[in-house]
Amino acid sequence: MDAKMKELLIDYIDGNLPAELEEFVKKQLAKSEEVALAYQQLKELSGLMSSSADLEPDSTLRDDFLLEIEKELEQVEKAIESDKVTVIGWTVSWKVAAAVALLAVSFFAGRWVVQQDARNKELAQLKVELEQTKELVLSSLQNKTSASTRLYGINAAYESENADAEIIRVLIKTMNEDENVNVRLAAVQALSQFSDQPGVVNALVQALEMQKEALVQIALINLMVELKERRALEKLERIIRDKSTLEAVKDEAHMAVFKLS
Amino acid sequence: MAVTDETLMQQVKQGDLRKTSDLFDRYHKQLYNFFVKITFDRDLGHDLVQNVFLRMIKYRKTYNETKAFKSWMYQIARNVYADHARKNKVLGADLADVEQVKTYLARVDEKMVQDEREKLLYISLFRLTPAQREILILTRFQQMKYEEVAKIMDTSVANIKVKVHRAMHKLRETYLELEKI
Repeated sequence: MDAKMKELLIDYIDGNLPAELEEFVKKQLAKSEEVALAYQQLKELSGLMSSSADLEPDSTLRDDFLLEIEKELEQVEKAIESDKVTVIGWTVSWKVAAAVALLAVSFFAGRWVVQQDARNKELAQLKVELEQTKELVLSSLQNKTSASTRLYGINAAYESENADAEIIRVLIKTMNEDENVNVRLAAVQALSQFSDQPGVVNALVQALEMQKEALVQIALINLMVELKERRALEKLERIIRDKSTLEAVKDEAHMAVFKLS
Repeated sequence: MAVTDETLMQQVKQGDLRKTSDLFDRYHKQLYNFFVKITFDRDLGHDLVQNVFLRMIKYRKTYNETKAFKSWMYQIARNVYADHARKNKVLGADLADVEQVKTYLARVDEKMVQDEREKLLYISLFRLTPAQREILILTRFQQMKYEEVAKIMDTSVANIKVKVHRAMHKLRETYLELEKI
């Protein structure tokens, strides 16, 4: 019996075949003893499995579980109690901080772009003249004195659909070495756009180990989950074990390990 | 009308942890059978079910209410099993003798070996890989739709279909060999 017939038989048992194929299987069943026998056996096994009685867990399962809920509730209540006496500043989670920082970065970068566009047509002209994002990106990123210019360069890379090896190399270098955390963060985001390019994912995984700023760490961790990058697991474990890691980052790392495992 | 799983889990997410016990009542038996029929170990099944619900509470904030609760729960269950399998030797390969397997199964549950055909079924199942057992438990024992299983395993329906077909034919081959003995 060929593989196709084997497939058809199971679909036939499940009632998943269109009328035409169902007719075909019926004919085969009448014609071939081998097919008819296989059908009988598969049908019997299917029937046995669907009618097999469920096993009963013993009652301790429920009792143990209820006990665990109470334990967890106690912890939650304790946490709420301690929250009440904590200074408000401390209760702001890192996630909120990260979101606010991202918003601020986008806002200022956006405003800067608008202002620059209005005031300084030179750069726009340059953009037209070069007709290549590449040079814009590279030259902006070389500006050591102005973080906002570097952000502008990264934005240009982010918006372009294609990035060549040179742009990727500079973005990776910026992510790893730029002194400004917002610039590094923007580089991470730009690189996430190009995760299908050679070397990018690897650089992002490596960066997990190098970055010590919580904002960047969290962005990278979330990116690993988004990319379903299991190679990051080892680095994530290391972040969790590292005593200098902030709690909020550890929480994110734990969650990422859970999602990736 | 009964409250949906999704609403209950949403309430858990918002801090009403005791609502987990309603979800426990709905699903613990199904999960217990899922684990015991993969591992053939009742104590382990007990612990793994417990782990699923603990993770559910611990990671309640990651639950996305627009997604089906049951798929999410089974995703956690599969992770729990994968963690266990990584840390422990998976049982099966060293019990080659049919009599040995039979005695082993009888210890898991007398019912598994009472009926001759059911006994052969479970021995055959025992001889498949855990992944093959898993797919048959979900689609045959628990009769989930391929679409549902595809969501749980984060893959396509076509892929699930192929897996089911392979597992079914492997089961049939093993079953036939045993019948001859």
